[in-house]
Amino acid sequence: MNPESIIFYNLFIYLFGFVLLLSLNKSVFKQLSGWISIVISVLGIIFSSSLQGPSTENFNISYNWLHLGETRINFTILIDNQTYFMYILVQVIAFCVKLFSTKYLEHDDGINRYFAFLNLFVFSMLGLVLAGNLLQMYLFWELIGFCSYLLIGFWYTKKAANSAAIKAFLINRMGDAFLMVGIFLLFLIYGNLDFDALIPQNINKNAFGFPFLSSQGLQTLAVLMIFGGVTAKSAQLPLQIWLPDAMEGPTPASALIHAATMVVAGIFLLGRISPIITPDAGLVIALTGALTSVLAAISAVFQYDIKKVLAYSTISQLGFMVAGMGMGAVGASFFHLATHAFFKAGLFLCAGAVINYMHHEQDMRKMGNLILKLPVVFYAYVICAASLMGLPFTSGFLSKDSLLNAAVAFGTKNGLKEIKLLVPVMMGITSFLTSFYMIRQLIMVFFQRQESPVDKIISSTKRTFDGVIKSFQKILNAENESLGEDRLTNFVRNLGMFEVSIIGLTVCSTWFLFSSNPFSFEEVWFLEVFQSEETHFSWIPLAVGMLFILALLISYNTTYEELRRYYLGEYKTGNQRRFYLLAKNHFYIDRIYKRLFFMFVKSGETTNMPMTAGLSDKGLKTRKFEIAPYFQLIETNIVDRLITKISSLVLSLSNYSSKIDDKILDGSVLGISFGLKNLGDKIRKSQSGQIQLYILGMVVIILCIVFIKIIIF
Amino acid sequence: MQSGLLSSLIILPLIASMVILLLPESYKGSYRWISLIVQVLLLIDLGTLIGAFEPNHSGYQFLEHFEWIRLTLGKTSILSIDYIVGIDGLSLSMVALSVIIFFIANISSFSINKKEKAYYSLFLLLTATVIGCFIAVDFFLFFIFFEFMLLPMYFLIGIWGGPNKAYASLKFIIYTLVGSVMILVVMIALAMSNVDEFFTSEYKRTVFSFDFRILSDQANLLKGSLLNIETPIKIFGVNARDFMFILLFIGFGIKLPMVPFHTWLPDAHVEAPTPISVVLAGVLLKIGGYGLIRIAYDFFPDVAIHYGLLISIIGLISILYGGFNALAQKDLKKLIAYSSISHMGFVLLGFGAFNIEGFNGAIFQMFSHGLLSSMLFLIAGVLYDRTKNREIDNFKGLAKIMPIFTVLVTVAFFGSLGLPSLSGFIGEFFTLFGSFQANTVPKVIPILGVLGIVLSAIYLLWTFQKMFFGEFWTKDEFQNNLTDLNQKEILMLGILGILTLLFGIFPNILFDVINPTVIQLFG
Repeated sequence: MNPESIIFYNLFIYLFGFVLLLSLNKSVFKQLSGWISIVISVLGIIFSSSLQGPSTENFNISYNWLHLGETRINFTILIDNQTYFMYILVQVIAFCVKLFSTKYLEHDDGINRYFAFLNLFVFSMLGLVLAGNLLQMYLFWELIGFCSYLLIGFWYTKKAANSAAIKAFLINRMGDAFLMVGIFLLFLIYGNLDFDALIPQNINKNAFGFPFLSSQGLQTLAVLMIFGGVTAKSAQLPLQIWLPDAMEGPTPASALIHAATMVVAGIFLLGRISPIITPDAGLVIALTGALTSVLAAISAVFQYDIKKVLAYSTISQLGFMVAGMGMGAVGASFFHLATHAFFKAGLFLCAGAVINYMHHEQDMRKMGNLILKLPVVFYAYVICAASLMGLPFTSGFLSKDSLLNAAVAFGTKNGLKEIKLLVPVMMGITSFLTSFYMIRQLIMVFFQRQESPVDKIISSTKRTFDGVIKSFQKILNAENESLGEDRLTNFVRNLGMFEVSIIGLTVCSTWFLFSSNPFSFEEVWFLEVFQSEETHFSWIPLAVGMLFILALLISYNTTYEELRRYYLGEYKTGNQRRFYLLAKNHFYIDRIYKRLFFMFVKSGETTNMPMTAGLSDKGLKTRKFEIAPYFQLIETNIVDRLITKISSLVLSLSNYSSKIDDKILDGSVLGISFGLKNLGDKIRKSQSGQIQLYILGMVVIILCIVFIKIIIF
Repeated sequence: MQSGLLSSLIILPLIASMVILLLPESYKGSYRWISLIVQVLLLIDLGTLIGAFEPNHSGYQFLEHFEWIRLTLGKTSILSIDYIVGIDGLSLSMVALSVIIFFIANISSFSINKKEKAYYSLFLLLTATVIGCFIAVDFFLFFIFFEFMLLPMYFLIGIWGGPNKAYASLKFIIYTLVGSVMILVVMIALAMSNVDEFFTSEYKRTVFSFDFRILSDQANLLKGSLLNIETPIKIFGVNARDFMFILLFIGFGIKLPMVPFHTWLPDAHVEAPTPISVVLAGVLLKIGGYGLIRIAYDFFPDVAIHYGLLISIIGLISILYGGFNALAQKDLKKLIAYSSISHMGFVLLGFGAFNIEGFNGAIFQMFSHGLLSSMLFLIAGVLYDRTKNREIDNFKGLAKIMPIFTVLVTVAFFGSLGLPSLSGFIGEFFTLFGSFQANTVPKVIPILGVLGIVLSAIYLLWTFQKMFFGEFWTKDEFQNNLTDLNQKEILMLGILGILTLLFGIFPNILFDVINPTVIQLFG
């Protein structure tokens, strides 16, 4: 098959899946919707595997979509390396997630709706990666946002889910507004929206309508506007606040959409426009990315919700990728995107399994001991977490190494005195914090510890440590034992849907999928396809390792201390507590938006409003500036009243004139309004059939005139 | 080509209207079917038109020309008023919209049980006049239809409306009449300044014509007349041409409606019965936009270009003002009415751009707004039919008991807030796009206009969330009435939903038709 029809069928089956599953609402096949959609995914993967990956030559095909005068915008399918990887990646992860979801949502009433949305999402995401121009990308860009809205609000009777959904959509809408302006600006500069045409040589030099900007400056502005869209979709400062709340959705959906694929659409877009990112814009993007990653990592350290930790971690890692794009390290950034997609999806699915096991309890402090109950999940979790932390033998090691390498090269290019240096420094801090919160999470969720009786817990730190070692031994032994053939078959037989899908993603998080050499990113085929950095700092992996060990030591102790205080009900006080609250609430960025929003809307019920998801109302004083009600006041008091005044003036005038001379009144224009005033009453009186006569008369007369004139002349 | 196809679009509903009037009361049940059959015939008519229409041909097609009135003015001149109908891409798109919306509104009218005879004959009269407005190629004819439309509209709101109907219908008619007067002034001035060269040489007298084709050609302007370009005549210190353009702009702007002449719209909508709201928002507002292009822009292109900035600013104000007002509403219908104002602001923004992209975008926006606002009013009607109530706060968690309704509402709401792949997006995007590419408009206007998209997302999603999500709750008295859509409602909303989707994905269906007309306007 030629690529064109492959893509057509591939997209079509997902769309078909969406429609089909949505129509299954009342049918008996509803419970099968998970399997139907898995079949669709398998078909999709088969289709796309027969698609030839381009190495040098891009595949490009255009359909006539719309043209307005001179402006032509085609519907273009563009397949280059970037597209090809994403195309496969999205479908593979979607497959794992669907597999996981069949069990996770098996008793849910809206299961067909859920899978329908998933299919729509995959369709839109594939459309996005295939898009050959900015408008087309914008189209799918909003569609994936729409799918995200639907999936976050999947449990629509839950208030928190609704608020989170609407918040996500609105924040993304703000980003889209920036993106749209960016698209307009780029059209102004290049006269074209095709990605192929967005190269510096194509600048249209005489079309600028901006007084204070050079063409370079305008281009920077355009790129930053596009970046504004990216900040919303990829959850960067200052629009990152929707992502933690988006965790209200079903966990597997979070894994697919809010960790692995949708949120990286922004990175993908930056990669697409990378040839035109100016150095100034690049610096801003890199700094924003790095700063976001640090702030999000700090917040992740203080979360108790298992999914929120992962959400902040996602923001933090997205910050890495964005920074990479800003630095011009497209290959490294993409590589991290790919590895992150696998291990973060893996982590989320593990979290889903844990949450499912805990009967939808998400507070990590109430977990513990799961190492024995969910061993497979634990191993998967450890491997994925290691990948996230960048430990050897994992894919994360390679991608993080390459990204940090690029950052150091970027930061030290022109000596150590520039602001650029902040980028690698902040990314280093993030690496440390990443290890810190992942270890904290591992300990809290999986490690053994004494439960409840408070007095025992005080001295339990030491004992638990022993317990951990013991449990490790136990598991290792169990592992050894199960190497026997019976055990192995037993083990396989006991694997549930959860474990299978998690193991799939975990395997993808190890090095061999990407490189033959686990210790150096130089042999990664991924990076060979994208041309990347020439300099190589060999000390970076060591530094990451050191940071990990440091984090391990500190985090281990503090986490147990934290748990101890939790059981005792002790809380930090003073500045410590203030900092804790600041970090936990992600620096109160939410609150700024809420204030902003309240300026526009007056509402008695504050809880049911957009933009308020995940916020307590404490500390929010009354809203002094409400704009929308003022508009309403203007409407009724000024605009409407003015008109009423004018018409009453006209009325009194006409009354006056009627007293002077009835005959003038009949013909005067002023009389119309007077007549009309009474007309309403007259109608009511004349309703008993006279109207018909009246209208009939009019119609007949008019028609007669028309016909007579036509006939006579 | 005197096929009579276009005239049948007017004559069929007129005849049916009279037939209904003359039928005795005992045939009461048949009125709605007669009316529906006519609407179906119109749809068939429309299909034939679209089939035979040549999109690449600019200028009018299917012309039907009858001489009508020849008024001798003194010894030297003749006033010629003709019955001319014809369509080009612009009119075709509007006629198609009207025929579809009237069909839908007719189905929706089935729930009206009061004075059916009067209702259906007025409704058909409205159909005829509205379509007449779009296909008239003679200013006089256009004006007759434009004026005559008010009569059925006035009664339809005034008799079948809500509790405050007298006020609303009066307000509606006063506003529109004021606009009409302004248009009338311009019409007379235009006709007295343009000369039909062909007939002038034939009759050996100066022939003043109302023919659109003659009015739009500035070569026909009589030297020394009121509206000539070379030696401007001042009215109240303003050039006559500028003055006339402003009159037209306000006259049609009231109909559009633009801020600050919009206050009749929310009142009229709130009081009007559902099908009339649908027609009002879906079709009648478009006459304002149509008139602006067909008359204001086509006859005064030299003036219009100077007012690009003003029109854009008014458009921007309409977008934001309408949006903020919508945000403050508690009544669903009022919210939709204000969102209409906001969306029609995009149309003005596109006109203000004065370039091909902006105009195409504006026309597309009118078309798409016609589909979407009709859908929204039908949705409000669905709730009103069941509960006689439209307060947003009275409904919660409808998704649970009305799933099909929720799906269709999702299409309508997301289409209105401009989700790509639904038609609302294309209109909004290209009006803003055109505005951004325009040299006469500072970039800050479209940039602020983009805010309108965010605003519409806020008020629509918020309403959506409040009414459809969460646990189901309404007042006790409504509880049993709230059932999911019946087949009639699914049909109406479904047709509109599919059309929205179709035009959102394949916008070229419409762009191909209107593009030549727009290019000709600038050519």
